[in-house]
Amino acid sequence: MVAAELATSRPDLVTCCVLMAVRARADALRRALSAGERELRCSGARQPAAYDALISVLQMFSPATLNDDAAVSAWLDVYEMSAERRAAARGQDAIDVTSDRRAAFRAVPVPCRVIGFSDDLMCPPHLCAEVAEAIPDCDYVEIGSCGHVGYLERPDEVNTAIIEFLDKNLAVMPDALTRQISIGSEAVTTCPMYPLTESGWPTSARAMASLCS
Amino acid sequence: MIMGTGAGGNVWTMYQVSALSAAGYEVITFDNRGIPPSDVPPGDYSLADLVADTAGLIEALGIGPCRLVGTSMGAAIAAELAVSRPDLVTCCVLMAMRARADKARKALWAGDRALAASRAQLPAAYDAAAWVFQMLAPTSLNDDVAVSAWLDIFKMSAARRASAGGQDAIDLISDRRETLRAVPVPCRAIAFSHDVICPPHLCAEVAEIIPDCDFVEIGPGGHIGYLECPDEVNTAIIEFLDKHR
Repeated sequence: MVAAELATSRPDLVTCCVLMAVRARADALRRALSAGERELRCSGARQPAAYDALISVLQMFSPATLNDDAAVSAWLDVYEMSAERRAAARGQDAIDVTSDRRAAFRAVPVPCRVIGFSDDLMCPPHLCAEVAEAIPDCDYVEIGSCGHVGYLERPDEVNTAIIEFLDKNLAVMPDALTRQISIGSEAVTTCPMYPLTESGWPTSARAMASLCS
Repeated sequence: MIMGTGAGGNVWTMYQVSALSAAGYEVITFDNRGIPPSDVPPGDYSLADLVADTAGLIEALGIGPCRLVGTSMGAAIAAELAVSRPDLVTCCVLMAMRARADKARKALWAGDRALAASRAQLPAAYDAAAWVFQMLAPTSLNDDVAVSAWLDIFKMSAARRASAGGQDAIDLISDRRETLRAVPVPCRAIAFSHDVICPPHLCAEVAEIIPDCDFVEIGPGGHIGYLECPDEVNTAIIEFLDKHR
Protein backbone atom coordinates (compact mmCIF):
# COMPACT_ATOMS: atom_id res chain seq x y z
CA MET A 1 0.00 0.00 0.00
CA VAL A 2 2.85 2.36 0.86
CA ALA A 3 4.51 1.65 -2.48
CA ALA A 4 1.34 2.23 -4.48
CA GLU A 5 0.45 5.43 -2.64
CA LEU A 6 3.99 6.71 -3.13
CA ALA A 7 3.84 5.96 -6.85
CA THR A 8 0.72 8.10 -7.06
CA SER A 9 1.82 10.98 -4.86
CA ARG A 10 5.48 11.10 -5.91
CA PRO A 11 5.82 9.48 -9.35
CA ASP A 12 9.24 11.16 -9.63
CA LEU A 13 10.49 8.73 -7.01
CA VAL A 14 9.10 5.50 -8.40
CA THR A 15 9.95 3.48 -11.50
CA CYS A 16 7.71 0.48 -10.95
CA CYS A 17 6.20 -1.50 -8.07
CA VAL A 18 5.83 -5.10 -7.03
CA LEU A 19 2.82 -5.25 -4.70
CA MET A 20 2.49 -8.44 -2.66
CA ALA A 21 -0.50 -9.46 -0.58
CA VAL A 22 -2.31 -6.17 -1.08
CA ARG A 23 -6.03 -5.37 -1.05
CA ALA A 24 -7.88 -2.40 -2.57
CA ARG A 25 -10.71 -2.78 -0.07
CA ALA A 26 -11.80 -4.95 2.85
CA ASP A 27 -14.69 -7.40 2.67
CA ALA A 28 -16.93 -8.30 5.63
CA LEU A 29 -14.45 -10.66 7.27
CA ARG A 30 -11.41 -8.47 6.90
CA ARG A 31 -13.39 -5.48 8.30
CA ALA A 32 -14.57 -7.63 11.20
CA LEU A 33 -11.03 -8.75 11.91
CA SER A 34 -9.71 -5.17 11.94
CA ALA A 35 -12.58 -4.07 14.18
CA GLY A 36 -12.01 -7.02 16.50
CA GLU A 37 -8.29 -6.32 16.74
CA ARG A 38 -8.99 -2.66 17.46
CA GLU A 39 -11.41 -3.63 20.22
CA LEU A 40 -8.83 -6.01 21.64
CA ARG A 41 -6.23 -3.23 21.79
CA CYS A 42 -8.66 -0.81 23.40
CA SER A 43 -9.90 -3.39 25.91
CA GLY A 44 -6.46 -3.76 27.41
CA ALA A 45 -7.05 -7.54 27.59
CA ARG A 46 -3.76 -9.36 27.34
CA GLN A 47 -3.69 -12.66 25.54
CA PRO A 48 -1.16 -15.23 26.69
CA ALA A 49 1.89 -15.30 24.38
CA ALA A 50 1.18 -18.89 23.34
CA TYR A 51 -2.35 -17.99 22.22
CA ASP A 52 -1.21 -14.88 20.41
CA ALA A 53 1.51 -16.81 18.57
CA LEU A 54 -0.81 -19.55 17.46
CA ILE A 55 -3.48 -17.14 16.19
CA SER A 56 -0.77 -15.32 14.22
CA VAL A 57 0.57 -18.53 12.76
CA LEU A 58 -2.91 -19.76 11.82
CA GLN A 59 -3.65 -16.47 10.11
CA MET A 60 -0.30 -16.00 8.39
CA PHE A 61 0.62 -19.40 6.99
CA SER A 62 -0.79 -21.86 4.49
CA PRO A 63 -1.95 -25.35 5.44
CA ALA A 64 1.20 -26.64 3.70
CA THR A 65 3.31 -24.93 6.38
CA LEU A 66 0.90 -25.67 9.24
CA ASN A 67 1.08 -29.38 8.40
CA ASP A 68 4.89 -29.37 8.51
CA ASP A 69 5.95 -30.02 12.13
CA ALA A 70 9.47 -28.64 11.79
CA ALA A 71 8.35 -25.46 10.03
CA VAL A 72 5.45 -24.77 12.34
CA SER A 73 7.59 -25.19 15.48
CA ALA A 74 10.14 -22.73 14.17
CA TRP A 75 7.47 -20.21 13.23
CA LEU A 76 5.69 -20.47 16.58
CA ASP A 77 9.01 -19.66 18.25
CA VAL A 78 9.58 -16.74 15.92
CA TYR A 79 6.14 -15.30 16.67
CA GLU A 80 6.47 -15.79 20.41
CA MET A 81 9.88 -14.15 20.38
CA SER A 82 8.79 -11.27 18.20
CA ALA A 83 5.76 -10.40 20.34
CA GLU A 84 7.69 -7.52 21.87
CA ARG A 85 8.65 -6.08 18.51
CA ARG A 86 5.05 -6.30 17.33
CA ALA A 87 3.90 -4.61 20.52
CA ALA A 88 6.40 -1.80 19.97
CA ALA A 89 4.96 -1.26 16.48
CA ARG A 90 1.48 -0.64 17.92
CA GLY A 91 1.33 2.80 16.33
CA GLN A 92 1.17 0.96 13.00
CA ASP A 93 -2.00 -0.80 14.14
CA ALA A 94 -3.89 2.46 13.80
CA ILE A 95 -3.16 2.60 10.06
CA ASP A 96 -6.39 2.31 8.12
CA VAL A 97 -6.19 -0.81 5.97
CA THR A 98 -9.91 -1.28 5.43
CA SER A 99 -10.96 1.79 3.42
CA ASP A 100 -11.85 1.43 -0.23
CA ARG A 101 -8.74 2.51 -2.16
CA ARG A 102 -9.83 1.42 -5.60
CA ALA A 103 -9.95 4.99 -6.88
CA ALA A 104 -6.41 5.61 -5.59
CA PHE A 105 -5.14 2.46 -7.28
CA ARG A 106 -6.66 3.60 -10.59
CA ALA A 107 -4.30 6.58 -10.46
CA VAL A 108 -1.07 4.61 -10.02
CA PRO A 109 1.05 5.91 -12.95
CA VAL A 110 3.81 3.26 -13.07
CA PRO A 111 3.93 -0.37 -14.20
CA CYS A 112 3.09 -2.76 -11.37
CA ARG A 113 2.97 -6.44 -10.68
CA VAL A 114 0.62 -7.73 -8.01
CA ILE A 115 1.59 -11.03 -6.40
CA GLY A 116 -1.16 -12.93 -4.61
CA PHE A 117 -0.65 -15.93 -2.34
CA SER A 118 -3.14 -18.77 -2.84
CA ASP A 119 -3.93 -19.43 0.83
CA ASP A 120 -3.66 -15.86 2.12
CA LEU A 121 -6.39 -15.26 4.71
CA MET A 122 -5.54 -11.57 5.24
CA CYS A 123 -5.44 -10.62 1.55
CA PRO A 124 -7.20 -13.45 -0.26
CA PRO A 125 -6.22 -13.91 -3.91
CA HIS A 126 -9.49 -12.57 -5.35
CA LEU A 127 -9.04 -9.26 -3.51
CA CYS A 128 -5.41 -9.13 -4.61
CA ALA A 129 -6.43 -9.68 -8.22
CA GLU A 130 -8.81 -6.72 -7.87
CA VAL A 131 -5.81 -4.46 -7.23
CA ALA A 132 -4.22 -5.67 -10.43
CA GLU A 133 -7.45 -4.88 -12.30
CA ALA A 134 -7.67 -1.38 -10.80
CA ILE A 135 -4.11 -0.29 -11.62
CA PRO A 136 -3.93 0.74 -15.30
CA ASP A 137 -0.63 -1.02 -16.11
CA CYS A 138 -0.46 -4.06 -13.86
CA ASP A 139 -0.20 -7.80 -14.22
CA TYR A 140 -1.07 -10.45 -11.66
CA VAL A 141 0.86 -13.51 -10.50
CA GLU A 142 -0.52 -16.00 -8.00
CA ILE A 143 1.87 -18.23 -6.07
CA GLY A 144 0.48 -21.50 -4.74
CA SER A 145 0.60 -23.25 -1.35
CA CYS A 146 1.42 -20.19 0.69
CA GLY A 147 -0.28 -17.73 3.00
CA HIS A 148 0.11 -14.05 3.91
CA VAL A 149 3.86 -14.43 4.34
CA GLY A 150 4.23 -16.30 1.05
CA TYR A 151 7.58 -14.61 0.40
CA LEU A 152 8.91 -16.64 3.34
CA GLU A 153 7.04 -19.83 2.54
CA ARG A 154 7.79 -19.91 -1.22
CA PRO A 155 10.84 -17.64 -1.55
CA ASP A 156 12.14 -19.08 -4.83
CA GLU A 157 8.88 -18.67 -6.71
CA VAL A 158 8.32 -15.20 -5.26
CA ASN A 159 11.88 -14.07 -6.02
CA THR A 160 11.54 -15.32 -9.60
CA ALA A 161 8.30 -13.37 -10.02
CA ILE A 162 9.87 -10.22 -8.58
CA ILE A 163 13.07 -10.42 -10.61
CA GLU A 164 11.29 -11.24 -13.84
CA PHE A 165 9.13 -8.15 -13.43
CA LEU A 166 11.99 -5.89 -12.41
CA ASP A 167 14.06 -7.09 -15.35
CA LYS A 168 11.21 -6.21 -17.73
CA ASN A 169 11.15 -2.73 -16.35
CA LEU A 170 14.79 -2.14 -17.02
CA ALA A 171 13.40 -0.81 -20.26
CA VAL A 172 11.90 2.16 -18.44
CA MET A 173 15.12 2.99 -16.65
CA PRO A 174 16.72 5.41 -19.11
CA ASP A 175 15.00 8.35 -17.43
CA ALA A 176 16.52 7.41 -14.17
CA LEU A 177 19.81 6.81 -15.86
CA THR A 178 19.76 10.13 -17.61
CA ARG A 179 19.04 11.79 -14.33
CA GLN A 180 21.97 9.96 -12.79
CA ILE A 181 24.18 11.17 -15.61
CA SER A 182 23.00 14.69 -15.13
CA ILE A 183 23.95 14.58 -11.49
CA GLY A 184 27.48 13.80 -12.38
CA SER A 185 28.28 10.24 -13.25
CA GLU A 186 30.89 10.16 -15.96
CA ALA A 187 31.22 6.42 -16.04
CA VAL A 188 27.94 5.65 -17.71
CA THR A 189 27.22 6.86 -21.14
CA THR A 190 24.56 4.96 -22.99
CA CYS A 191 23.45 1.49 -22.15
CA PRO A 192 20.78 1.37 -19.45
CA MET A 193 21.19 -2.38 -19.09
CA TYR A 194 24.50 -2.08 -17.32
CA PRO A 195 25.20 -1.19 -13.77
CA LEU A 196 25.77 2.24 -12.47
CA THR A 197 27.66 0.80 -9.57
CA GLU A 198 30.21 -1.92 -9.32
CA SER A 199 27.87 -4.06 -7.28
CA GLY A 200 25.26 -4.13 -10.05
CA TRP A 201 22.15 -2.35 -11.15
CA PRO A 202 20.27 -1.35 -8.02
CA THR A 203 16.93 -3.07 -8.25
CA SER A 204 15.42 -2.54 -4.85
CA ALA A 205 12.92 0.26 -4.40
CA ARG A 206 15.20 1.82 -1.85
CA ALA A 207 18.19 1.83 -4.15
CA MET A 208 16.06 3.27 -6.94
CA ALA A 209 14.85 6.02 -4.68
CA SER A 210 18.34 6.98 -3.60
CA LEU A 211 19.51 6.80 -7.19
CA CYS A 212 16.89 9.23 -8.42
CA SER A 213 16.91 11.69 -5.58
CA MET B 1 -25.48 -37.84 16.82
CA ILE B 2 -22.66 -36.57 19.02
CA MET B 3 -21.57 -32.94 18.85
CA GLY B 4 -18.07 -31.49 19.27
CA THR B 5 -16.62 -29.26 21.97
CA GLY B 6 -18.58 -26.25 23.13
CA ALA B 7 -21.61 -26.72 20.90
CA GLY B 8 -25.10 -28.04 21.51
CA GLY B 9 -26.78 -31.04 19.92
CA ASN B 10 -29.18 -28.62 18.26
CA VAL B 11 -26.44 -27.73 15.76
CA TRP B 12 -27.32 -31.01 14.03
CA THR B 13 -30.84 -29.71 13.43
CA MET B 14 -29.56 -27.07 11.00
CA TYR B 15 -28.97 -29.55 8.17
CA GLN B 16 -28.47 -33.15 9.28
CA VAL B 17 -31.56 -34.14 11.26
CA SER B 18 -34.08 -33.46 8.50
CA ALA B 19 -31.98 -35.21 5.83
CA LEU B 20 -31.39 -38.30 7.95
CA SER B 21 -35.05 -38.41 9.01
CA ALA B 22 -36.13 -38.17 5.38
CA ALA B 23 -33.82 -41.13 4.66
CA GLY B 24 -35.80 -43.16 7.19
CA TYR B 25 -33.69 -42.90 10.32
CA GLU B 26 -34.82 -41.97 13.80
CA VAL B 27 -32.36 -39.27 14.75
CA ILE B 28 -31.39 -38.58 18.36
CA THR B 29 -29.35 -35.51 19.28
CA PHE B 30 -28.35 -34.47 22.78
CA ASP B 31 -26.27 -31.98 24.71
CA ASN B 32 -23.00 -33.28 26.11
CA ARG B 33 -22.27 -32.54 29.74
CA GLY B 34 -21.31 -28.88 30.02
CA ILE B 35 -24.03 -27.75 27.60
CA PRO B 36 -27.33 -26.79 29.29
CA PRO B 37 -29.97 -28.06 29.73
CA SER B 38 -27.72 -31.07 30.32
CA ASP B 39 -25.84 -30.92 33.62
CA VAL B 40 -22.87 -28.62 33.94
CA PRO B 41 -20.88 -30.14 36.78
CA PRO B 42 -18.00 -28.02 38.05
CA GLY B 43 -14.40 -28.92 37.29
CA ASP B 44 -12.65 -30.48 34.34
CA TYR B 45 -14.23 -33.28 32.30
CA SER B 46 -12.48 -36.20 30.64
CA LEU B 47 -13.29 -37.95 27.39
CA ALA B 48 -14.11 -41.04 29.49
CA ASP B 49 -16.80 -39.01 31.30
CA LEU B 50 -18.50 -38.12 28.05
CA VAL B 51 -18.15 -41.67 26.71
CA ALA B 52 -19.87 -42.95 29.86
CA ASP B 53 -22.58 -40.28 29.52
CA THR B 54 -23.28 -41.40 25.95
CA ALA B 55 -23.36 -45.08 26.94
CA GLY B 56 -25.78 -44.18 29.75
CA LEU B 57 -28.05 -42.35 27.32
CA ILE B 58 -28.12 -45.24 24.84
CA GLU B 59 -28.93 -47.68 27.65
CA ALA B 60 -31.57 -45.40 29.17
CA LEU B 61 -33.27 -45.09 25.81
CA GLY B 62 -32.90 -48.83 25.20
CA ILE B 63 -31.75 -48.29 21.62
CA GLY B 64 -28.42 -50.17 21.63
CA PRO B 65 -26.78 -51.26 19.50
CA CYS B 66 -27.21 -48.12 17.40
CA ARG B 67 -25.43 -46.18 14.71
CA LEU B 68 -23.28 -43.27 15.90
CA VAL B 69 -22.47 -40.11 13.99
CA GLY B 70 -20.01 -37.78 15.68
CA THR B 71 -17.90 -34.79 14.78
CA SER B 72 -14.56 -33.72 16.25
CA MET B 73 -14.72 -34.51 19.99
CA GLY B 74 -18.06 -36.24 19.28
CA ALA B 75 -16.29 -38.56 16.82
CA ALA B 76 -13.68 -39.38 19.44
CA ILE B 77 -16.51 -40.24 21.85
CA ALA B 78 -18.13 -42.52 19.24
CA ALA B 79 -14.89 -44.39 18.49
CA GLU B 80 -14.04 -44.87 22.17
CA LEU B 81 -17.55 -46.08 22.90
CA ALA B 82 -17.32 -48.62 20.06
CA VAL B 83 -14.17 -50.00 21.69
CA SER B 84 -15.36 -50.04 25.30
CA ARG B 85 -19.00 -50.97 24.70
CA PRO B 86 -19.27 -52.76 21.33
CA ASP B 87 -22.66 -54.08 22.47
CA LEU B 88 -24.03 -50.54 22.10
CA VAL B 89 -22.64 -49.63 18.67
CA THR B 90 -23.49 -50.87 15.18
CA CYS B 91 -21.24 -48.58 13.15
CA CYS B 92 -19.77 -45.06 13.31
CA VAL B 93 -19.44 -42.03 11.08
CA LEU B 94 -16.42 -40.08 12.34
CA MET B 95 -16.17 -36.53 11.03
CA ALA B 96 -13.26 -34.12 11.46
CA MET B 97 -11.37 -36.45 13.75
CA ARG B 98 -7.67 -36.98 14.43
CA ALA B 99 -5.87 -39.99 15.93
CA ARG B 100 -3.05 -37.77 17.18
CA ALA B 101 -1.97 -34.14 17.19
CA ASP B 102 0.92 -32.72 15.21
CA LYS B 103 2.86 -29.62 16.27
CA ALA B 104 0.32 -27.12 14.97
CA ARG B 105 -2.61 -28.90 16.63
CA LYS B 106 -0.71 -29.27 19.92
CA ALA B 107 0.07 -25.55 19.80
CA LEU B 108 -3.58 -24.81 19.11
CA TRP B 109 -4.68 -26.82 22.10
CA ALA B 110 -1.98 -25.35 24.35
CA GLY B 111 -2.86 -21.84 23.21
CA ASP B 112 -6.54 -22.34 23.98
CA ARG B 113 -5.66 -23.79 27.38
CA ALA B 114 -3.33 -20.86 28.12
CA LEU B 115 -6.08 -18.44 27.17
CA ALA B 116 -8.60 -20.21 29.41
CA ALA B 117 -6.12 -20.32 32.31
CA SER B 118 -5.27 -16.64 31.96
CA ARG B 119 -8.96 -15.75 32.36
CA ALA B 120 -8.35 -12.95 29.87
CA GLN B 121 -11.67 -11.72 28.50
CA LEU B 122 -11.25 -11.18 24.80
CA PRO B 123 -13.70 -8.72 23.26
CA ALA B 124 -16.59 -10.53 21.56
CA ALA B 125 -15.75 -9.08 18.13
CA TYR B 126 -12.16 -10.30 18.28
CA ASP B 127 -13.14 -13.69 19.66
CA ALA B 128 -15.70 -14.21 16.88
CA ALA B 129 -13.16 -13.29 14.19
CA ALA B 130 -10.59 -15.68 15.69
CA TRP B 131 -13.23 -18.44 15.67
CA VAL B 132 -14.35 -18.07 12.08
CA PHE B 133 -10.76 -18.35 10.87
CA GLN B 134 -10.42 -21.65 12.73
CA MET B 135 -13.80 -23.08 11.79
CA LEU B 136 -14.58 -22.11 8.19
CA ALA B 137 -13.10 -22.76 4.76
CA PRO B 138 -11.87 -19.79 2.66
CA THR B 139 -14.94 -20.15 0.43
CA SER B 140 -17.15 -19.27 3.41
CA LEU B 141 -14.70 -16.65 4.71
CA ASN B 142 -14.75 -14.86 1.35
CA ASP B 143 -18.56 -14.82 1.17
CA ASP B 144 -19.69 -11.56 2.82
CA VAL B 145 -23.21 -12.75 3.56
CA ALA B 146 -22.16 -16.11 4.93
CA VAL B 147 -19.29 -14.80 7.03
CA SER B 148 -21.41 -12.01 8.54
CA ALA B 149 -23.95 -14.57 9.70
CA TRP B 150 -21.18 -16.75 11.10
CA LEU B 151 -19.57 -13.86 12.95
CA ASP B 152 -22.96 -13.16 14.58
CA ILE B 153 -23.43 -16.82 15.48
CA PHE B 154 -20.01 -17.02 17.11
CA LYS B 155 -20.63 -13.77 18.99
CA MET B 156 -23.97 -15.03 20.27
CA SER B 157 -22.66 -18.45 21.24
CA ALA B 158 -19.70 -17.08 23.22
CA ALA B 159 -21.54 -17.49 26.52
CA ARG B 160 -22.42 -21.09 25.73
CA ARG B 161 -18.81 -21.89 24.86
CA ALA B 162 -17.60 -20.25 28.05
CA SER B 163 -20.07 -22.22 30.18
CA ALA B 164 -18.84 -25.49 28.65
CA GLY B 165 -15.48 -24.79 30.31
CA GLY B 166 -15.18 -28.31 31.71
CA GLN B 167 -15.11 -29.63 28.13
CA ASP B 168 -12.04 -27.54 27.30
CA ALA B 169 -9.94 -29.76 29.54
CA ILE B 170 -10.78 -32.89 27.54
CA ASP B 171 -7.58 -34.30 26.13
CA LEU B 172 -7.88 -34.37 22.34
CA ILE B 173 -4.17 -34.30 21.59
CA SER B 174 -2.91 -37.61 22.98
CA ASP B 175 -1.97 -40.35 20.57
CA ARG B 176 -5.05 -42.61 20.27
CA ARG B 177 -3.79 -44.82 17.49
CA GLU B 178 -3.64 -47.91 19.73
CA THR B 179 -7.27 -47.46 20.79
CA LEU B 180 -8.44 -46.89 17.24
CA ARG B 181 -6.82 -50.13 16.09
CA ALA B 182 -9.27 -51.88 18.40
CA VAL B 183 -12.45 -50.30 16.99
CA PRO B 184 -14.52 -53.43 16.24
CA VAL B 185 -17.29 -51.95 14.07
CA PRO B 186 -17.42 -50.61 10.51
CA CYS B 187 -16.63 -46.89 10.30
CA ARG B 188 -16.50 -44.09 7.78
CA ALA B 189 -14.12 -41.18 8.40
CA ILE B 190 -15.18 -37.90 6.77
CA ALA B 191 -12.59 -35.14 6.39
CA PHE B 192 -13.16 -31.55 5.36
CA SER B 193 -10.74 -30.20 2.79
CA HIS B 194 -9.84 -26.95 4.58
CA ASP B 195 -10.12 -28.07 8.19
CA VAL B 196 -7.29 -26.50 10.21
CA ILE B 197 -8.29 -28.23 13.45
CA CYS B 198 -8.35 -31.73 11.95
CA PRO B 199 -6.60 -31.46 8.59
CA PRO B 200 -7.50 -34.10 5.99
CA HIS B 201 -4.20 -35.98 6.20
CA LEU B 202 -4.66 -36.54 9.94
CA CYS B 203 -8.28 -37.57 9.41
CA ALA B 204 -7.17 -40.05 6.72
CA GLU B 205 -4.85 -41.59 9.30
CA VAL B 206 -7.92 -42.48 11.40
CA ALA B 207 -9.37 -44.38 8.44
CA GLU B 208 -6.09 -46.22 7.91
CA ILE B 209 -5.83 -47.31 11.53
CA ILE B 210 -9.39 -48.52 12.18
CA PRO B 211 -9.53 -52.05 10.76
CA ASP B 212 -12.83 -51.61 8.85
CA CYS B 213 -13.03 -47.95 7.87
CA ASP B 214 -13.32 -46.04 4.62
CA PHE B 215 -12.51 -42.40 3.99
CA VAL B 216 -14.38 -39.58 2.30
CA GLU B 217 -13.03 -36.06 1.85
CA ILE B 218 -15.53 -33.27 1.29
CA GLY B 219 -14.82 -29.72 0.22
CA PRO B 220 -14.62 -26.88 0.33
CA GLY B 221 -15.26 -27.11 4.04
CA GLY B 222 -13.57 -26.20 7.30
CA HIS B 223 -13.90 -27.80 10.72
CA ILE B 224 -17.67 -27.36 10.57
CA GLY B 225 -17.91 -28.68 7.02
CA TYR B 226 -21.20 -30.43 7.87
CA LEU B 227 -22.71 -26.92 7.95
CA GLU B 228 -20.78 -25.57 4.95
CA CYS B 229 -21.36 -28.53 2.60
CA PRO B 230 -24.43 -30.17 4.17
CA ASP B 231 -25.68 -31.93 1.04
CA GLU B 232 -22.42 -33.73 0.35
CA VAL B 233 -21.99 -34.61 4.02
CA ASN B 234 -25.55 -35.90 4.38
CA THR B 235 -25.14 -38.03 1.27
CA ALA B 236 -21.91 -39.52 2.63
CA ILE B 237 -23.53 -40.25 6.01
CA ILE B 238 -26.69 -41.79 4.58
CA GLU B 239 -24.84 -43.87 2.00
CA PHE B 240 -22.72 -45.40 4.77
CA LEU B 241 -25.61 -45.92 7.21
CA ASP B 242 -27.68 -47.58 4.48
CA LYS B 243 -24.90 -50.14 4.05
CA HIS B 244 -25.26 -51.06 7.70
CA ARG B 245 -29.02 -51.16 8.13
